[in-house]
Amino acid sequence: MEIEAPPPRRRALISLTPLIDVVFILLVFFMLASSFLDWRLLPLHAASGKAPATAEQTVLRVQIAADGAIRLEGRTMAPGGLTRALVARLAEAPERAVVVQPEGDVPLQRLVAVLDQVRAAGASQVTLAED
Amino acid sequence: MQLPPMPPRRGDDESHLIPLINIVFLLLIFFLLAGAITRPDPFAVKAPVSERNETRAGEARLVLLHRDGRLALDGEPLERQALMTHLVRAVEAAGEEGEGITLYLRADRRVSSARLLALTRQLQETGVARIFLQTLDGGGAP
Repeated sequence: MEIEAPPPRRRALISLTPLIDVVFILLVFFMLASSFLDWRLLPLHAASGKAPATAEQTVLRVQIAADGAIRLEGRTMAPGGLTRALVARLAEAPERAVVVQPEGDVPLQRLVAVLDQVRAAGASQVTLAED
Repeated sequence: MQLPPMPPRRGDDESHLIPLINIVFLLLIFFLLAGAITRPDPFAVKAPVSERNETRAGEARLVLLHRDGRLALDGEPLERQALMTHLVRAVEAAGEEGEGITLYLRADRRVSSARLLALTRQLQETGVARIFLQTLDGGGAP
């Protein structure tokens, strides 16, 4: 009677279990330490000193009220109408500076939304000032 | 006489681990390449969301502004006065090499405009060349 012996198994050079342990630790480290946020940048420029009131006729004043209303040169804008109105005015004089004047307790998110609209209109100089 | 083939032994045979380790290696390489390792912030700041802004890479100092007014410079919590002193010194050091300092400001989206304006003005007075507000992509986090 002859019994076939099973083929001799190759001995692995390194065992896989410690390897996978290390790789798992590396994986968890990189998952926790890496960030996938896509940051964007918005240029900030604050007017120094007092806000230019009426001395400069050439600036366009955008005011943001605490309740969210937006006024351009004193006239209340419909939501989304700011960009169009600014484009019309900047078409005559593209170099006009725009001064955004938020009321003190306007949250930053609201201010950024307005700055977006101002930049969408193509304003080259955007300054922040107090209301 | 022929015996039936022996059942595979699970105990010390590790070949069934190979598909697993393949996937784990793939994930590891993905996170290595796709993610950027950053220093964790000393406090949570929910950045505002904006629609259209350019991205720009480059060397910059990072100022964090928390909702309750706490400040941090490059991941280190600082008082307002200490932060300004740090920046003035950094501007002087950079000025000797003929360079300006770029500042990234990451402010919480609920910070009031008055606070942001006051801080921006103070930061400008330290002499930094450019200040950018960091925002997130509008399609990303709500």
